[in-house]
Amino acid sequence: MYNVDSKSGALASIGTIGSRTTPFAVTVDPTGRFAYVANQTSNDVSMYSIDPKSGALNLWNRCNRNQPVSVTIDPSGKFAYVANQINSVSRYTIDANTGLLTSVGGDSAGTEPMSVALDPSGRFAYVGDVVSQQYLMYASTASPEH
Amino acid sequence: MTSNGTVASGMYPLPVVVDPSGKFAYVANGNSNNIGIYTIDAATGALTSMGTLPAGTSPGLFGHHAKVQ
Repeated sequence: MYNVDSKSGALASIGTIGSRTTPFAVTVDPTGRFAYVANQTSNDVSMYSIDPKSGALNLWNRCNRNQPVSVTIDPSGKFAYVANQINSVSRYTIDANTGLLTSVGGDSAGTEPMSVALDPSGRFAYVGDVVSQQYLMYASTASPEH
Repeated sequence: MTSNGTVASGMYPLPVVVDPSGKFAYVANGNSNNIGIYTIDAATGALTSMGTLPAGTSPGLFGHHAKVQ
């Protein structure tokens, strides 16, 4: 964990925190209050709160997944997408108060999806599939929010 | 999410980076030593390749400060 100098961008260590096995990617929500880590080989996603003063992560929950490799949060901070290396993308809502991830479904996505990118409107998603060497393109479904 | 088709990537499809306007997308093609440039259809979100730019050897993840050589 690092403190970032606001002028130079330089990093200064503020300590470390234990992780699960193979923490593949860490993602911070747009409000800066929550962080999520995809733990590829321990098959879960860790949920952290972020200390507003020190920036330190505090682990408070986990949810199970199969080979998660990345977490992507939509620009509104309401939804999260987890790329599972075993051919799917899971969708979650994010509790605005606690940061809790709640599963709301999933979609099959290629063979080994490694990343999900969203456009700034949150309407379109792009999933990189290592095996087919393609980007899979998605549009959000017609539900009121997503 | 509803599928909207596919578009070919480089040998290892690193995460797509979308510009803040939502009009363009970029990818670093790690094993192809170039950066792919796409336009984004405003109605469908579909990506259309506009070609590639040569980059250094094994370009990796990049954001808004990509170094294109």
